[in-house]
Amino acid sequence: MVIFEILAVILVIFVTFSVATEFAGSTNTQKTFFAEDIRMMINTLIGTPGDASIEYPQDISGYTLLLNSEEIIVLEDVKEGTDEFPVHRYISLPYDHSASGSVTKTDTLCIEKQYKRITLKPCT
Amino acid sequence: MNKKAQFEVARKSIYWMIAGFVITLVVIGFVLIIVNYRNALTEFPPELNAEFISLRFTNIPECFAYQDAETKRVYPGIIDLEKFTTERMEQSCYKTDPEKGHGTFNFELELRDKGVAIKTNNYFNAPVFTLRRNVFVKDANGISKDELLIHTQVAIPYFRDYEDRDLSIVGTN
Repeated sequence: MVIFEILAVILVIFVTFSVATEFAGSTNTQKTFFAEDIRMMINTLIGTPGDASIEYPQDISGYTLLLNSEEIIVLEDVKEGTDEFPVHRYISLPYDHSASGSVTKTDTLCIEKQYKRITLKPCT
Repeated sequence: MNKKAQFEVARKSIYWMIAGFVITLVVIGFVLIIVNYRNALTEFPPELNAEFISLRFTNIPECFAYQDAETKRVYPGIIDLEKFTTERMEQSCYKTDPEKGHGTFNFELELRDKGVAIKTNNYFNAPVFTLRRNVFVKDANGISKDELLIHTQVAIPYFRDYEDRDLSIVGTN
């Protein structure tokens, strides 16, 4: 009976530590920050008459960012396959505007608006 | 097994049934605390997002900013009353997904002095806060001063008391 009790305590400690470890190792928070930052930057560019360019002041290495006219997708670069939990953020573009671009395996990110076209690309 | 041992086994079984239930609740509670903490960590003030989205309403010609027909010059902060319609809002300014759009920002724009109001396609009269901007309005009679009230509906359901805030950052006067 005592062995059973010790096993039960070990199991509870193991489950608790597993949850805590998974939380500590998760990159969801960082992906959400990137996606929200980029959404706000794109909305600012849209609300700016004329052309403009913004350099994102953070290191984005280890992540892939995709942009199309409907959403921003942030994925973590994983060794095999693709990230199972990408973060999506919806964007609404005005008439005649379009958005595209992707960045991967780079640490810099620039967002450019040129004649109603918003482009996500590595900074040069 | 004598009677004392039988009693001991039964007692322990009941104890572990109760302990198992309590331990399960504790672990689930721990997970919920972590999930809530993570959600709180990544929560952005909705006013910030709404402020950036709403820049377009007064600043670009695809929305409601006045554009000189001859020179094509855009006047940010001057609203062309002819453009200020729900059709224009949906067709060329801001439209959310017809099915899932209630989960994001929707707006009702109201020109206070003119008494004109327009809405985005998924606005269900559930504003969470109001942004205010000082603008000029151009109509057939010329240009006049007005205040643009941007009633903002965040994702539905969104549980927060209605707040009427003055978050004006793009005053034109």
